[in-house]
Amino acid sequence: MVPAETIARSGGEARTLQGGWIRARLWTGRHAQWWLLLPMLAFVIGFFLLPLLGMLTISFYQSAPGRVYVPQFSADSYVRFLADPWYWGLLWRTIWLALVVTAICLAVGYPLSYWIWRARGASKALLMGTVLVPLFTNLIARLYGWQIILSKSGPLNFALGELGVLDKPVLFNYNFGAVVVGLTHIALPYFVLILVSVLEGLDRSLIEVARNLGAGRLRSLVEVVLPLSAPGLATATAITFAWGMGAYAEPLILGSPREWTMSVEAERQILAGFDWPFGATIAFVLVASMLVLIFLLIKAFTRKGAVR
Amino acid sequence: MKVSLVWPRWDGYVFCLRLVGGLTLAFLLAPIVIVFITSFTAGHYIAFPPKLPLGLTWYEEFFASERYFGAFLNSLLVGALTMLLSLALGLTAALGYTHRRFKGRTAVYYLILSPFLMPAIILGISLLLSLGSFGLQGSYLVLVLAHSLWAAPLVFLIMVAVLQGMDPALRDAAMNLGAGPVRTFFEVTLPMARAGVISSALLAFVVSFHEFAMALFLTSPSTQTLPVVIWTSLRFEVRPVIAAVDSIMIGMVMLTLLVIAKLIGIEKIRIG
Amino acid sequence: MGQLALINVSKEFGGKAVVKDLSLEVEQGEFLFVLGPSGCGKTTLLRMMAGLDHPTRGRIVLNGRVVNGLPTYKRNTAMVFQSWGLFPHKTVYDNVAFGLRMRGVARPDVKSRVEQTLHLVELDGYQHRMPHQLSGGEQQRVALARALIVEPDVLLLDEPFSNLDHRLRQQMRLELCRIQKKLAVTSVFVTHDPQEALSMADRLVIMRQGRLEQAGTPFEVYQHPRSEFVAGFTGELNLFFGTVSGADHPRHAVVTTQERLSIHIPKESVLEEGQAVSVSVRPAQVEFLNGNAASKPNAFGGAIYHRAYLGSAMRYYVQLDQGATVFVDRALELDAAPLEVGARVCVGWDVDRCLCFPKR
Repeated sequence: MVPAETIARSGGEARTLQGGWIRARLWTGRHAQWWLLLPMLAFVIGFFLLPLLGMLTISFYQSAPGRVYVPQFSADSYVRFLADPWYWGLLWRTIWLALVVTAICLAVGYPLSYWIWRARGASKALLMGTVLVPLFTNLIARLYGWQIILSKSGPLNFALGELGVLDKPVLFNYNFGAVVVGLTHIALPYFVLILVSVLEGLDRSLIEVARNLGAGRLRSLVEVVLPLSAPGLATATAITFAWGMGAYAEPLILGSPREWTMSVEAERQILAGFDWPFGATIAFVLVASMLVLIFLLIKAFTRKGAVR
Repeated sequence: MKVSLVWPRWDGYVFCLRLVGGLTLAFLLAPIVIVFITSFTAGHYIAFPPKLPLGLTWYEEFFASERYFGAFLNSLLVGALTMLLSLALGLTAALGYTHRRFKGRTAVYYLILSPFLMPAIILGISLLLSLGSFGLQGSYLVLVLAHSLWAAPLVFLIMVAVLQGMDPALRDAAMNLGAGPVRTFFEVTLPMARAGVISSALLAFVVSFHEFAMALFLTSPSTQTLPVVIWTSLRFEVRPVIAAVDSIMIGMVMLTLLVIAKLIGIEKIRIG
Repeated sequence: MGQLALINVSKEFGGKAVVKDLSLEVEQGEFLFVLGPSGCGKTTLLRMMAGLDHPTRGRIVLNGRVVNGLPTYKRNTAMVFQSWGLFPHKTVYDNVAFGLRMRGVARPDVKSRVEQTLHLVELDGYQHRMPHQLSGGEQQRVALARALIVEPDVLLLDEPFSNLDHRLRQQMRLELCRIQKKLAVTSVFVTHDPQEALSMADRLVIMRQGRLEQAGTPFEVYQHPRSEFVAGFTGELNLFFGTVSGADHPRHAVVTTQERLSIHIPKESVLEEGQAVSVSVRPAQVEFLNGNAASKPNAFGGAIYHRAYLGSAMRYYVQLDQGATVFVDRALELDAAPLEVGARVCVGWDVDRCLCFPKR
């Protein structure tokens, strides 16, 4: 097919060409993409993974009064945590708070996301905007707003008083309920945002197909949309739960010391008590339990009738 | 086909759906509205309903106060730097990620997004503990780094979605016609991804501007950002100037969101 | 001397071979077509010629120079993509001028050359429009102009007409041929449509699963296909399977099919007695021999069970007495009236119209 002369003239394998050969290799070589990924990966590894490791290391150091820590191996902090039932209670209260908030987000957030997904045009933009605004409003501002709403002289008491439900103002603040309200308020927009973006990735026409085959609206939701959105739902739930476990400002502003979480305690130990090893221990236990529970959560989701 | 329960063919459930949705929206907006209204109060204490006559006294106080205004400037500075760093990191990573399929791509994706999963507190603590020994505590640098841990993955997420939505033939065509990789980026990729770049940049800024927990751990009195100042003020005094500050922040966010909504359809953001 | 040559080129993606040891040569000014079904590797082949992908093995020689590994922006090839790939944020002028800008051509020269090229593709005055304002055919022509203006060594086209409707496609084919001949630019066109390839190519190459099945002029490939695949891909076939049963006749061999038909085939094509083969004949070459059964050695009786109107011809589906089915394409002018379903006919064809291939 190809004349022998052409083969001969081309002289064997490709030889080096002029100039930008090496640069060309850089871009077209098999590993070109790694050069572009390098900065971000280095950043994440250097300022996220390594510090986490550092935190872990410090948790195994010796606490010392007067000094932040002594770089000497000691498992004292862990013993102190694990042996004291109060700390176990603290961990449990943190988990419980996160569970409650996540459950509420699921119950309330899914319908809202579904509604947004099915909406079109201006109304959709409006709905999304409404969900996004709290997301980017200052955390403190919002919690502060709740403090006002729930306070004795706040609008809630005012409204209930007018409606005749209450004779005198009740303190709605500084309890578990208030913290749940605040935390849900913070977590819900993230949940909805993630879920809507997942739903957007689904094929709209699936609903039409289901309806066409005779399924009512409720049924097509449950039997078609729910299973398909399950993986995304798992992600949204996992993230909400993770952040719920890390709750810091909400328990402090809206709760009494009984509602304070692991994060609060860790901060107290580090910034107020200057006991870095112990603070690090608390933080690490928090992270570890968070990861374990999320893993179990996702397992549960993907087992429970999801199309995987 | 298995025998199934009779489902209620009652479409009134749509009404319930809307009701729940509506209440939820009201729930989401309530505190913001409250804060906004109380910022105009004439009184010296936070109360609702606000004391009349409504006015801008507290806004004036904000701009006059060195403490608050200084913190405002700090927040702007940190926000701007975070925006730049996150763009640099997120954009290059997104370009690398979408260049072609390669082994380990999924792992890279989750690795880059992993800081997102962590509560702000944990990030703040770990950075404080690790970098504190380098004497970086209280500097702008460490806060910018911390905020970028959240902002850069966000930029990455958005830019990957935008880039994957682009026809690969465009890049191929540009290169085929003689544009090298860098030239292709500036001539074709960037202009087309412009909306996404601007949106993710603004998002990065906003995330940093409002971030509280990391700032609490990593700032010193001179580098304190606005949320931290508000926080400390809250614990010791409850003055309406704080409401004014919050309202200003809310206003800035609304503006930013409007810009973003204009530039990029919100549906275009995907996860995973 | 060829301008573009591929020598033993192979391409693997993650262990899977998409192009296998393929060699071909494109002459200067030739319009070569690469024809094959989806997934046969033809687009990959084209991309390697362009420099968007690089061969795992083998060599690509452009103008006598080995260009393996040379990235696309350093080669003087130009490609028209299936989706056209027009830059949506640039005007028609900027799109077309892009290649020239990359080559550092001076501004006034660019302007005149853009004007010339737009005139060539009959889009005069479209400079300031945006791609989204154009129709499919117009976008197509802008893509072509953008590629032609840089005066490439080789023009590469990846199924550029697949997004156009039928009539527009016919129109564009004619125009493309005209332009190609006028500029005498070496061109390689990839398609899965045999009609396109047969009607436009100077020479064509059939690809299957990464390999080159046959190369030749359209006439050669259609009339003398070298394999059952090529025969079936380039046109319709009546296909029978059987074994060679007799080699006694001086000029013919006989194949007995599964349906117990005895088909006479040219002796040159045959191999050995007992060998399993496929025998085929094109529907247009089957005739109705009513009453004249002895005129051809391959004559069989049957009845029409269905017919399909093809516009200029009628396709008759004939059920032979032995059970096999044959379809016959017959121009409508040949009969006073089309034959009816149910009519008894005698179909037959010439021996040298038979295509016979060993069964693998």
